[in-house]
Amino acid sequence: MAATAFAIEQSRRAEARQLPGPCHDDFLRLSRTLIHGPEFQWLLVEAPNEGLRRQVMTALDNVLQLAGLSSNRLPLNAKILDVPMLEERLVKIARSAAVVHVFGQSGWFDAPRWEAFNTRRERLASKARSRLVFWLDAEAIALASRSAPDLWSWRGGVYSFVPEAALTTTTSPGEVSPGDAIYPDKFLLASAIDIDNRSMAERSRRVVEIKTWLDRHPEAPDELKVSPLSELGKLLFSLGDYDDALELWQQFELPLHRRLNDCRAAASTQGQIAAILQLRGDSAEALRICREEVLPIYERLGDVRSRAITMGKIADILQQRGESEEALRIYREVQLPVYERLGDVRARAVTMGRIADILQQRGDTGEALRIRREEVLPVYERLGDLRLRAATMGMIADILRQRGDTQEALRILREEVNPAFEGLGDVRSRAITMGMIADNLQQSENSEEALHILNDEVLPAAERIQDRDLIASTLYESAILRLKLGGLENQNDGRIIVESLRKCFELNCQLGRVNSIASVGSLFGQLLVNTGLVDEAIPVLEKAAAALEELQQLEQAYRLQELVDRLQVTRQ
Amino acid sequence: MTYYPPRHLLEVLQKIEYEVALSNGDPRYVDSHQARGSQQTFTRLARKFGWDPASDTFFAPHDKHVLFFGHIGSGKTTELRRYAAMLNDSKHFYVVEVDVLAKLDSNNLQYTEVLMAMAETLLERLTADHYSLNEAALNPIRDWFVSVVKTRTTNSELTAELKTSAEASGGIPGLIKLLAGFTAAFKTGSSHKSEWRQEIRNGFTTLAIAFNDLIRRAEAELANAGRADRLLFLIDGTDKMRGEDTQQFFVQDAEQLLAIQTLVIYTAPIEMKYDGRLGGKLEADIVLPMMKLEERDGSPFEVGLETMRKLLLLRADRSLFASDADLDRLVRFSGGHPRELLRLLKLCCELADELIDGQVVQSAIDKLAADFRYFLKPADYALLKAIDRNPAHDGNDDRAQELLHRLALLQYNDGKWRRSHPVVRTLEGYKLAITPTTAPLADVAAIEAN
Repeated sequence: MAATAFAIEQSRRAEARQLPGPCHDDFLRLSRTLIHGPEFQWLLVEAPNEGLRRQVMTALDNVLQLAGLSSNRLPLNAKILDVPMLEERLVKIARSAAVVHVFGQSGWFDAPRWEAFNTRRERLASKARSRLVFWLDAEAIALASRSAPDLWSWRGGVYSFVPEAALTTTTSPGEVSPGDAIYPDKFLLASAIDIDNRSMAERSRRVVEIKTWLDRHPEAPDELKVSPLSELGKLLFSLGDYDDALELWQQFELPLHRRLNDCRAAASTQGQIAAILQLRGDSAEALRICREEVLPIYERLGDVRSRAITMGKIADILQQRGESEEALRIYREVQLPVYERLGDVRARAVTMGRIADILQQRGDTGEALRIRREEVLPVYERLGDLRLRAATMGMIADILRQRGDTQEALRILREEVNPAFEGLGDVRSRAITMGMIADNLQQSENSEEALHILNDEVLPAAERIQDRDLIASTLYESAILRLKLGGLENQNDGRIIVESLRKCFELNCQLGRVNSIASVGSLFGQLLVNTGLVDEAIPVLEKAAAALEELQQLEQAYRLQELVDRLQVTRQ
Repeated sequence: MTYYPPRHLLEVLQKIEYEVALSNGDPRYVDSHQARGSQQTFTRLARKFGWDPASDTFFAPHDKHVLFFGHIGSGKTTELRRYAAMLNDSKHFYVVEVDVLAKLDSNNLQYTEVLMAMAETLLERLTADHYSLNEAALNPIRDWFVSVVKTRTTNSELTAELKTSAEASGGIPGLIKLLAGFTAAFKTGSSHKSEWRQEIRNGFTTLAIAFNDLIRRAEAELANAGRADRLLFLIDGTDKMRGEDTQQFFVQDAEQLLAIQTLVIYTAPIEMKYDGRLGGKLEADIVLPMMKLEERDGSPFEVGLETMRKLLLLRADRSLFASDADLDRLVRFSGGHPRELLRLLKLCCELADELIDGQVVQSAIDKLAADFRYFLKPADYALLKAIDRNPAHDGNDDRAQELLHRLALLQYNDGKWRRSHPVVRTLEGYKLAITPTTAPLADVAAIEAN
């Protein structure tokens, strides 16, 4: 349901403010015509910068959603073989989306393709009755005006989102270790991200400061840029701007290190890139980068420690892909001997924690518990690392919960873990701890209190630090809890469940979390169907099916697509 | 019911739909004959088909194929629909409008399928108006299909379906079904498209005779009923074919078009008029001119300005403009092109908070000008400036045609003179362009002064 006109206008302006200055006016124009313009429009957007394009698109989708306009995305890539196929896709998507974003491969539209597209003008206007937003570069727009003159004459407008020149040559991060984020241990993920304890607002301000500095010093020597770029990347990552962080690392930091002939730093950046790719579900590419780009550099440099860390990252990816046996072998046979030889007790403890993770997953909770209690915890206690100690205690509590000892688990979480993170001012880790407390309460049949904690403690904290992953996972858990509590039988609860899943799904779409899009989308879509919201369900299910396809879960993808097809027929 | 223009900016924005040509009777229609400086356009067109609207004198030629040119978005379809209504109302013509874009695949269009669509639409029209033709009138064309289907060896689904239709059905509905089978196959890009095209080409002479026979018999029926003397086909959409298809259709296959002995108007892309390849086979001298806002010497043309004002005020209520001056400025910078005026209005609606004032209008002009920056090159600016200094400059090379096609250059008085789009003249590239001549320049200052 659409929000009030006032709320939409507020959101439109707020989103515009978040964008780089030059984007402000055109964002307002574009969002206005999308919301208030006619049903069919062909809009051209010059957005040559991938990061900025994503930023604007996301901001736009936020406003559209508030206005009650569904949107969908159609990437132009090699899978779209020709213009007839593009037309077919547009027509199909337009049936269920009020706004279709078409973007992707620069150069997909050559002159013959624009010409072919031009002749489909009338058919598009009659069959793809949506606001078709084409995100292109200036060259493609010029080509459209020449090769698709009739369509060009129907353009609803041309909008430009071009980054400030200096910004395009700035940003790049440094020593942040998002590689840690790929560890399945949620507290280690938290510790890697939340090393920076500055508030959200402070970090945002610092981002602007760094960008402004870089903007004003475009000619600064590369050596001078390394440090601010490094901090910027870390900040972006901590703010959850993975797209921007990734772009920064790929487009700026990596070339910068290469210009400076710093192959070690380049390898480190590659590792960070791989970590983000893995977070987004592109484990194949992450694995390739680690194996083919990073590892050879450390081997050439003879850096056995960095090689061992990289092997650990490879093992993490393998474990995530279900190859836990090979992951275990790497931890035990490759990493541990190196750390033992080097006397790096901390790194050894971290690796032992990974081994415990796998054992816990396999159900060998006894050995997992022993490792954490006897081999990991004492090391962190000896080193005085309060954060890692608290995280390990949290994982011990998790094993206890798995073994059914929810009382002891609750005691540890409440009396040891939570106070530790509170003392450290680690908002995110505290929120995760509260989430784990909720898990235990739920398991001990105290679902009401669990729900209360999720909604009143975890969610507000996640929202305050704008941790979209945490927001999404909390919303999901909360919705599942309500479902278990028979929420669908109560109209108000039913509405909350739908809203929670809707927001959770949207966040996952924004974050590009393929796994979550698949799982949440499947549940949410089917729930929408059951509640009669077929129009909204179709694009959700389509996205979920596409995600499943991407994850190679073809059978499930096919089943969902079949459901979509049936719904389409019913609706007609 | 009285029509009131939208009184809110967002409502104006919501109703600007470039893809919708005004239908006959739309309250937003404004008579633009005088403003276009071409009151004679319709008369000339009608006279080509043997009718003098002033005296109602009528003597139709045996056949006539006329191309109708116009700028993209200049109101061609809207005007043609008006012309068609007037020709139809004269009772001399029974106008059959064929929208090839709706019926066929304009991405790959040839005379073969246009011919089928003409026959199909004619029969649909006759049926809708309750005219009937006897079997003798329908047999020649049906026989053609039967013979083609029989000689074909391809056992395709389409062939089987057509065979069934050809053999089983009778009357106009049967023939419509038969023809619709063809046009549907052509539209959906059936794999048999090229085969059927070849069949039509191979048996074209016979088919043309059969179609001509059908046309004669239909005309006889209409004359008997006192409805009309002649059929007149209006083929809309042929101005939007792909470049190579346009050449094939109007140049290489012109003889085949002419083999259909009837009265036809085809819409055609304006650049084709000037590229010299038409070779005089089809009548190619009717251009729908732009509405002119000034005379060739730069003095204001009040009729044009008033017409465009009316057009604007039917799209947005006067209360939305801060002043008449703002409204007039929008009109002047449209260059007399209706869609460009709507484009400026849309930009204003995107930019304004509550009122369209001077600042909003200026921003709209700047934004529209920026669209041209995507494709204009330094040499284009120089050429536009040269043409502006000498509006009669014939400039019919590829570049000038390209500029015409993309509305950077507009032409007035049936193409007798041209001028650059007013918003283009605000661009720095234009201002800095160097031309050899020192003749007076119709620049932005002149527009502002008017």
